[in-house]
Amino acid sequence: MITLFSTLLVILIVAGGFVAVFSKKLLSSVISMGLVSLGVSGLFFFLQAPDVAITEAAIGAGLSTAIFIIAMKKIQKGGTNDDE
Amino acid sequence: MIDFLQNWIYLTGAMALVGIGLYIVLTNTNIFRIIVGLNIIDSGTNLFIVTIAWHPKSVMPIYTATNNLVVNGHVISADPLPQSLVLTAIVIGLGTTALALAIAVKIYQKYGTLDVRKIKEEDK
Amino acid sequence: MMSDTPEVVKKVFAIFVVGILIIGFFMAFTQMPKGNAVNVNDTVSRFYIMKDVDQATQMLDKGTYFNKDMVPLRNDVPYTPITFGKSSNLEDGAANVVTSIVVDYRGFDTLGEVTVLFLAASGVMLVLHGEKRKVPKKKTAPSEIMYVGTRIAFSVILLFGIYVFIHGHLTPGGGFPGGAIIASGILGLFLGRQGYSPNKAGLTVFESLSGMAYVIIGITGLVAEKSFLANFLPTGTIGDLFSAGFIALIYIAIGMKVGSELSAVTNAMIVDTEED
Repeated sequence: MITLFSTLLVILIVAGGFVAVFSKKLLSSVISMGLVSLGVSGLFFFLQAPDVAITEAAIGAGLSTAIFIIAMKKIQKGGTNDDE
Repeated sequence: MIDFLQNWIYLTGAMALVGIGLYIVLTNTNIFRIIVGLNIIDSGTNLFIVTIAWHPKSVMPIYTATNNLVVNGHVISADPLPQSLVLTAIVIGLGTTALALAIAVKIYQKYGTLDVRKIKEEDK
Repeated sequence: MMSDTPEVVKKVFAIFVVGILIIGFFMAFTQMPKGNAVNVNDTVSRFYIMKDVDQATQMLDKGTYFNKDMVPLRNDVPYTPITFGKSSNLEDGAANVVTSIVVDYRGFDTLGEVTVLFLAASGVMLVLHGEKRKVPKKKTAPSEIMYVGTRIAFSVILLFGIYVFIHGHLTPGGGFPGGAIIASGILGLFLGRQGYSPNKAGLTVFESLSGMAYVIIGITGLVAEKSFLANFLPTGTIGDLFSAGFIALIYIAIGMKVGSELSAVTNAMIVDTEED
């Protein structure tokens, strides 16, 4: 039973990785990177490591994706306030 | 089949993630995509280290009212030492990604493009 | 040279490199019996679980550690198993074994990690230095639901983050995820209103005081027991709130430091865009 769940999660992770490789837009790659982090966090729970699962869920799937999208918004607006 | 899956599925997932991340880094020219690839390699390495600390009949390494870590003189919990190393590595991965993104934003403001080949030509 | 080769050659070369890596890995791993079956009784980790690291040090000094027929448990005193709520005055009375390794047995490595995180945050704020734009661009404002909802959610998120890092020695969690949860709450406040900026002086003071608190606790251990970062508080019964020495104090310092640091990094990356 547990082996079945773990196999489904690993298939989800590898599928997310392939979406990150073969997508045309940059936003799809970033969202699938967040999906990979979420799947790895669930996998850490089945590997009997709850500390690591909480840390990866809070940092990988939360803050890392958010900082990526904030940086992407700075690119599209075309510069900031230094006027260099 | 169940036996083979139970023993090898986690290692296969970790190595597949490292392979996918390495392929992304080697064949892309956009700086942001290269940083996505580096982050996927990070996740794959952490999964590999936590897999080494596991055996198929283990329990969590936390003492609670119903959880016994030592049974009949043998220790049956998962190995707690690699888990503490991974706890440190995840936070440092976040710091590295944030710094790389800040530098990438400044490169775009100076050169006007995100293509690695064009930046290399303009810098000569 | 590398910019003239066609795309197909680059992709085939990349697939070749990745294939060699994966094949080499699996060839190395067929030496292990049955995939992954670690035996914790043979490694040093069982001394961390049974909380007698002193015996491991004595065995290393005497040279009996690397014998092939190492006895599983100590046989000079009858072994009393560690039970939740009854065992007291252990070497390190935390119920969470991973936490006791990170803060008590390997506390110096955690001090190094806090330093690396501080360097990365300073680097980000140094690179993205600049002044606020005087004339803001016109953008659509967030709706009322976002404004009220994020402020209500922030109080609950802050309380949950403080709970996670205070109970680090009893439940899974600790200082690092607690700080990240608080930073996520502040990120929600940024999304609720245009032009929100936290109190920068307050964040700086919080971060500096927490970092100094960690080193001051270490120096107190040096004065009290002649060793930097030694556990100088009494370890009570396993499972109580006031147990495990100074682990709760250090996690409070780490949680506040990580939370304010990540909030300052997010502030530096958002505010310089034209959203103010």
